[in-house]
Amino acid sequence: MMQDKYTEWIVAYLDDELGEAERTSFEEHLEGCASCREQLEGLSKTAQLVDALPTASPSAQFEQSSLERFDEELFRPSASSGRKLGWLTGPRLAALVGSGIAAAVIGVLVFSGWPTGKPHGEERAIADDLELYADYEVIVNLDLLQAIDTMELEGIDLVAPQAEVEVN
Amino acid sequence: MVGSKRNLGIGDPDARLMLAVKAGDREAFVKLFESYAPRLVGYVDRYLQNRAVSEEIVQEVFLKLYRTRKRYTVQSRFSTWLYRIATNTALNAVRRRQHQKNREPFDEAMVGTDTAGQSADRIVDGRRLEKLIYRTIDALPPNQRAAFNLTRFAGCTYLETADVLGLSESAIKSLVFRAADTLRQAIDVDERRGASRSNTLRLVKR
Ligand SMILES: [Zn+2]
Repeated sequence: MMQDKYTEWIVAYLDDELGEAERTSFEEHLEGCASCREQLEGLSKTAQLVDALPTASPSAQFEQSSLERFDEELFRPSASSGRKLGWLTGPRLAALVGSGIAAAVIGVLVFSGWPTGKPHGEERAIADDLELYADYEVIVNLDLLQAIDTMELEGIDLVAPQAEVEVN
Repeated sequence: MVGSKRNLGIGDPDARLMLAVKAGDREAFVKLFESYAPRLVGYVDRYLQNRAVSEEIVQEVFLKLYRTRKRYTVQSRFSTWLYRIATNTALNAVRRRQHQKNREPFDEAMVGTDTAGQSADRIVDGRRLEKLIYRTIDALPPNQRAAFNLTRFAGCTYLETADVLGLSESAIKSLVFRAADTLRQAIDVDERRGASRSNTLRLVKR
């Protein structure tokens, strides 16, 4: 089927995503272009089929089990400290090694264990340093959201949305 | 997603909730979860076609949302931020799954659930068509797939989709067209094959 510069506008036209001027010139073109008319018909049918697909909705226990998981992993810090050590293994550990900071964090974890209870003195100073990493998946997520995704999801250039990385 | 002022979180009530989350507010977090999680499951399921897996991914999205809360600024709408994390997480899960040798079987229970009042052959044809559509979407390049899923299944405008993916609106226009055109061709081929096999196939009488 023939392609012209208007062909790529067909779906945007169907989605009502063309600007006023674009729409007018597209409709004028359509009158004289059998190929675009034919593709418009086919794509309109495709859109209808796709839009009619059933949508999954969550199971009955989803909300409850999610909230329990969040409380467990996010809002109950003492309960999650053991889990965090367990989490630092295998590929994730390997992913963290590379960076000096990560090595320092791991060093502290290895030599003093993850701080439990209220730290004080020197331990407190270290903990303050670690405040940034108390939730150290953030380190990984910085990678996740910036480096890994950007590099590995070829084609999608997912940059952080104008957000400055705030660490306080 | 509603509203389309580019990058403006000001006046977005969810952005205000997210700022509370940033300060560690559990209740605000739960509110955001309750208002977005159900439709996010529907959205993520377009990538995974498995409800249980999609639910777990949505939980991961919210875990990430909380753990990266300090990076959120009101410059972006909350939904933009959330859908970006969700899209990344879903695409990563797809990629991980594609790397596995034994892919999980297509979840039969998730398709064609609303079949009351349809004749048996319609159901069979409908499911076959659904599978064809999902197989085709599955094979799209990630950027086309994300743009297509965001506009068709998350209800995002092209502008919102552009914000989520960090691309221009005209790039979205092109990605969405190519995705839809690939689907159109797949359905076309399938129809012609079906017509030559049997002229009783009713694929598109809805
Ligand atoms: Zn034309």
